[in-house]
Formats: sequence, C-alpha cells, structure tokens
Amino acid sequence: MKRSVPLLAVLLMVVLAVSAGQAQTPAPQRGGTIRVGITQEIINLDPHVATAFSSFQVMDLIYESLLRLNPRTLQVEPNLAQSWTVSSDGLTYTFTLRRDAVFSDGSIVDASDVKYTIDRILNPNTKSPQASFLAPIREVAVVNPFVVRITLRQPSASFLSLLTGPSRGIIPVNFEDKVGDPKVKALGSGPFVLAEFGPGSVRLARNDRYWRKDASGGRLPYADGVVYRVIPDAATLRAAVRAGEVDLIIGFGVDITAARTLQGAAGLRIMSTPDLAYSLVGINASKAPFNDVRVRQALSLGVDREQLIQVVYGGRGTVAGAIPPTLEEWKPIPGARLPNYRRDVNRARQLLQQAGQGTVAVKMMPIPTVPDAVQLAQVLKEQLEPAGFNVELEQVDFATFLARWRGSNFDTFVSLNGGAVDPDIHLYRHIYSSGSTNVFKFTSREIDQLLDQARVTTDQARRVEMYGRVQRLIAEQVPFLFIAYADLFAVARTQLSGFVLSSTRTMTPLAETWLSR
Amino acid sequence: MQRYVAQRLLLLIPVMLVISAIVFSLMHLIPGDPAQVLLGFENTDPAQLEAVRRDLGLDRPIYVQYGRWLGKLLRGDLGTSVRTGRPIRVLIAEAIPFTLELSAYALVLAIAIAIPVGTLAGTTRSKLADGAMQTLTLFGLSLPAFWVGAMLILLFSVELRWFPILTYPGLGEAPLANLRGFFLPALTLAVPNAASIARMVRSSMVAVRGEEYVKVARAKGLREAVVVRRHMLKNALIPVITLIGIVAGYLLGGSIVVEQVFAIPGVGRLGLQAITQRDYPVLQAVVLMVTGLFVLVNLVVDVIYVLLDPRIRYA
Repeated sequence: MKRSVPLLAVLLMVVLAVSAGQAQTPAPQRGGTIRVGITQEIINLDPHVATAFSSFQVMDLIYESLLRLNPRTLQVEPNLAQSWTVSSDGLTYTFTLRRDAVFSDGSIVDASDVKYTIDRILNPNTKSPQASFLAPIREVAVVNPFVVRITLRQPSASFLSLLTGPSRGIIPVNFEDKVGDPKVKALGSGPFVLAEFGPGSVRLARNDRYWRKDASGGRLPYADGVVYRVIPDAATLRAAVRAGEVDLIIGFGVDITAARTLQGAAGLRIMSTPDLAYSLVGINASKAPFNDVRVRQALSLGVDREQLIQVVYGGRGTVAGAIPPTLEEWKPIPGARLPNYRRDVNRARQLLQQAGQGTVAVKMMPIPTVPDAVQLAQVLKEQLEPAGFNVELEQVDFATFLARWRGSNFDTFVSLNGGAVDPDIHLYRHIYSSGSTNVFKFTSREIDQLLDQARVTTDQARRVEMYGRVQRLIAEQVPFLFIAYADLFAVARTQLSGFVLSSTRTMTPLAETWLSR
Repeated sequence: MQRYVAQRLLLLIPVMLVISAIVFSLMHLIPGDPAQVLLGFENTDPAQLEAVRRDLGLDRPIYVQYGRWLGKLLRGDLGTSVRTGRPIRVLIAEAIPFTLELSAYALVLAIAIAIPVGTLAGTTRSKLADGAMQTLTLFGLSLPAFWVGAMLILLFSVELRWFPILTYPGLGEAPLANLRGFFLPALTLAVPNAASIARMVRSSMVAVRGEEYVKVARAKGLREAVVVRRHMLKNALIPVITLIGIVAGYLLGGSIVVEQVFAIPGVGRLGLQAITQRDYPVLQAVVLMVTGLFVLVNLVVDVIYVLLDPRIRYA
C-alpha cells in the first residue's frame, strides 16, 4: 500500500499539469465585435489606388493577394495561390489557385480574376502608385480556371514578395461594375466584408464564406465584426482603450509614450515588436555642400544614434544600416560594425575641413505626421552642432512636406521609411540612381551595379553576399542616414486574445483574434 | 422689419463670393497640391502626377478653376472631394449634424453656467465671492480646450466612467444616450464661452445696479430676487445677447479642437482634413457653410434685440 502513494502523487501531478496547460491556452470564443482605435482618417478603400496607411489597415481584412507574408516569421507563404513553380530561367511563374476561395458575392476566385487584377494595376488609366512595383511583369496568362502563368521581362528575385499585401489584392473580373465606387465600397475574398463606411468609422462584418481555417480546422474569422474608430488625438486614443471603449489601439500615435503611460494599467496588455520601417535623415546629395561625400560622412559621424534611441524611443529600438535587424537571413550588419556610425566629432570636423567647409548651415525638415520625427530633429540639432553643423529646423505642414520631398526641395529632412522583407524592395527605389523615390538624387555606379545584379540573381547565398557589400557601401557613401529601427507598439484589452503584432504592421491576424466574455 | 431681413439675406451673396475667392486663392498660394497627396510617398513619377492633376482639373489656371467651381455651385453642385472622391454634399450632410448639435449644446451649457455665475458676481456685496468668480472665469478663459477636454476625459470617462467617450448616437434615435455622449465635448466647448459671457453679465449687472429704476423697484419693497430678475437682469441682457450671438458664430468654427480631441467627425474636422490634404473643393464648401451660418446667426441676434427691447426698430 505504501508504494502506491508516490504513484498517486505522480498521477495527481500529471492531471494538474494537464489542466494547467489547458488553462493557459483557452479555446477561442466566437462572436462579438472587435473595436480598433486608429488615429488616421480612413480615406479610400480602392486596393490598387489607396496610399494612406489607415486604408491598408482596413483593406488587410477585405482583400487578399496571391501570397502573403506570415505575420510572425515574415516568410512568403501560400494564400489565394496554394502552390507555385518557377522556370529555370526565373522568367515564368506558374501559380495554382486554391479551389475553395470565393469573393464575398459568392463567385469563385479564379485565374481570370488574377489576370484582371494585375492588368488593372498596370493599366495607366488606373493611375496605381503600385504599378512601378509590378513593372517587371510582361504578361499574365490564364492556363486553366485555377492555374495562372506570369511571365517577367527579366528575372526578379523579390517577385514573390511583390505579390503580397492588400495593394496587390485580387478583385473579381469587372470589379467596378460589380462594386460601384471602389473608393467607398468593397468586394474581396478576405475574412471580413465592408458593412458601413461612415464618418469617422468603418464597420466590417464577418465573411461567412471565408476559406481559411484555424489550427484545429475551425472556421475563421472568430469575431462577428470589426469596427475601426478614427480617434485623431493620441491622448484620447489612449484614454479610449483605458476606458474600455476600444479593444485595441494600433498604428500611428501608439508609440513609446503610449507604452509608458499605459504600462501597468489594469486590464491592458502592451505588445511590441521590432519594426521593418526605419527613421532616416534624408540628405539632398545634388546640392552643395552635400554633394561632397565627406560632408555627408561628417553628418553621419556627428550623430549619436544610441542617444537618439534612448531619448526619443525610450531605449526601444536598434541602430542598424540598410537591412532591418529582424531579417536575420539577410545578415544585417549591426550598427557598431558599420563605418561612420560611431560618433566622432573631431573626425567630422576634419572631414569638413578637407571638403573646404567651415561651419555648415543645414536646414532640417521633420515630417509633421510622425511625432517622433520632430523630436529626432530637435536632438539632432544639438548633436550636430559640435560636429560643425548649424542646424535650422523647418516646420512645415504635411502637404508642403510632400511637395518638397517630391521635388527634392530640401537640405535634409527627418522621416520614417516603410520597410520590406526583401532588400530589393527595401532599398532599390530609394537608392538606385533612377529609383522611383530617390529624392536624395544620390548616384553611385558601384551601388547601382550591385543592386541590379542582386535583383536578377536567384541564388540566395549570392544575394546575401551582394547585399552585405551594399550595406557597407551605403554606410560609406551615405545616401541618407539610417537612424534607427524603433519598436512598434500596440495596446490591447486583456479580453482580446490571439492577435499578433507583426513587423509588417498587417491587420490580418484579426481574423484569428477573439474576445473573451 | 421683413425688408431689413431680406436686405441682410441678399447681402450674404456678395459676402460669400468675396470670402470664397479669398479662400480659393489662399489655398492655391501655399505649396503642395491634392494630386501629390493622393499619390503619397509611393513614387515621384512626374508623368503620373501630371495625369492625376489633369484628371482633377488642377492643370488649368486658378481663375478657370474658380469659374468652374462657381458655375457648378450655381447649379447647386458642391462638387466632389479630391481626396476621397465622394460628393461633398454627402460629406457635409454627414458631418453637419455633429457640429450643429455640439455647438447648440455648448451654447445652452455656456448660458446655463454664465447667467447665474455672472448675476451672482454682479450683485453680491461680498468682495471675496466676486473675486473668486472673477478668478474662476479667468481660468475658464485661459485654459486651452485640448487640455480641458483631455482632463475631462481622464476624470469622467477613464476614472469615474460616468460618461462614455466616442459614443455619439443620433439625437432622434437615442436622445438620452446622445445627450450623455455629447456632454463632455459640449462642456469643453462651453467653458471659455461661459467664462466670457459670465464676465459680460457681471459688468452689465454692475452697470445697472445704480440705475434709478432699480432704486425705485427696491423702494417699492420688491423682494431682492424679483428686483434682480425682472428689473436688473432683463435690462442688463442687451450687450450679453450681442456677445452670445458672436459666441454662437465662433462655436461653429471653434469646434475644430474639440472635435479633434473627442473624435467627433464633424465639420471642423472635415475642414481641418481638407486643409492638411489640400482638398480645395471640400474646404471651399466648409468655409462657405460656416460663413453663411455665421451671418445667419448674427441676423437672428439682431431680430432678438427687437423682441427684447421695444425701443429698437429697424426701418
């Protein structure tokens, strides 16, 4: 009898452990409406035309693309296309579509819809700002209802990641006729459908026909609906989640200040993840004295990036170069090992002297829509003074900033650049001589050649090596200053479970998010 | 009287024309245009920019744009928003109930606070009470709306949970919930206006305090409350009504900050968005509407004078 006592105890422990394990992962609950607070006005829901971040936050749940980036791993994975093959010359991609995906009007998502979508984006009449991304496409052909073949003009190593996200969202043939005005109406295959586009809010309802299942085969989405509430004031946004009037606050306005003020508040959970986007100091390399690489190097040497992270981002960020530190497979070089990254005021002054400059007057224009940018500019002004730069801040409104950015009408500016999971998309358009957003007017034949080669090379190891060289060259030639990859934040009520804050800022995990009651 | 009202209404037309012309040219003088805002940071392709500008008619000279806009307006067409592509008539119809209610509510609150406070300050013999009320109204005047709003939210919505934020149902659908939802924003908007009206009431009351008819009223043995209400207040109200008229006009335009803090999708926010995104036609429509309302409110005030004081006549 005595022997059975330890056995009983072991059994008891096993039972306890199992039940404890279950308590930690409760079963998802269905129903309810998830209320999301955002700061930016929702403007336009046409997936191929909209440019506002808030539009993407809504379209993420309505439109689906052929492929998607896994919100956690950031790897390209199947979505509406369940598999694909690439020809050996890297020019022909053949996608096989899943057969159970339907648009919210009940029609099946097929190959002709994919062709219609890409043709619409590339059609100059659409005036899609996304068209330049898909420029490598020569032709889209329907092989059979569930197989579509895309032929490229030249191999494109980043092509698959270009087929992700709502701005490449698949729409049905004759979209405009079916939907009416796509700016305020929607028709996609995503987990939610547009129910109401009202002033200051957008209401989405569950798409009962949605194809994706959860890990245990249950239907998605869990929630009956999602409401986006626009709360322009960041302080009110924080108050709204504390008062329980929204379940999740995310996006612009949810920053280190939100994390700090809401830390420890009852019933709230702070989420954070490293961002793919980075803060930068743009430099006009076409304008004297910044056309002299030594002046740009001096600017880089005058900056104490660690201090900026401490002061502006509360220590929540990473100093890095041209490759986001989260993308480990691309071997991002840490800031400490990049040239011109460690602050050296004397060296900066020497370089200015060699360039024949005394004290250099610099105008610096922070983007007004990113509160951090103004703060960064203020600290930068202090940091750069001993290095021989006399910084004058230029406060302008958003439309003025955009106009001057577009026309390269600046000395320097402070802003935030959105990131991408493929270095080609992350860098090419900003740094290549004729890149579509090279407002810096920076040119380097050496970097151009590497970027061109890396773009058509499909061998991953060789690409990694090329981008290693690109990272060093960029730090040496300083097309602009990469300042920091700060952490992203979101705050949720503890009733909200299953949401993943992704570095890509996607809202798609809301399909697998539930509210406990 | 009718002729006077008709004249004033006719005068509205040149006023609005001049204002719309000024706003139109000012908007085009500042850098940045809606086509650029539409394209955002995705590319800098000049050909695409030109195409979008052509679509929006922005490639034409300003006077042509203004003429076209005026022509449409005369046919009752406010045009479409450049930024959202939606009809401006719809945008304004969606936004105006919020702003009108907020302004009216704030005005009622402001008067409800100001008249008793001002009367008390203007009639009390206690220096302390008068001084306290003067200080209080000074605070009310100087505290910025964004701060007052944030504090009210923190206290009444987050800590005490007495009032919801972000819940603005229609007045017709749920009157009580509506009045509750709009209370904090209306109060925020009312505070500085209540303070300025209270000060006016006080100084007006002080001015009539020594009048003969007040002495007579007292000598007749009327109760103090009756003296104050019937003889002092009624006579002291003329300058107060003028001020209330001005305040009512400002409330319509001044709700921008409050709408921003309390996330109310009203006309103020619509106008602010239109400015930051250079949505010219929307801003034009908003300015026109606010101007029109301002003039109308002033007209109503002028009419109220007559009702209040039989000595005033408009020939």
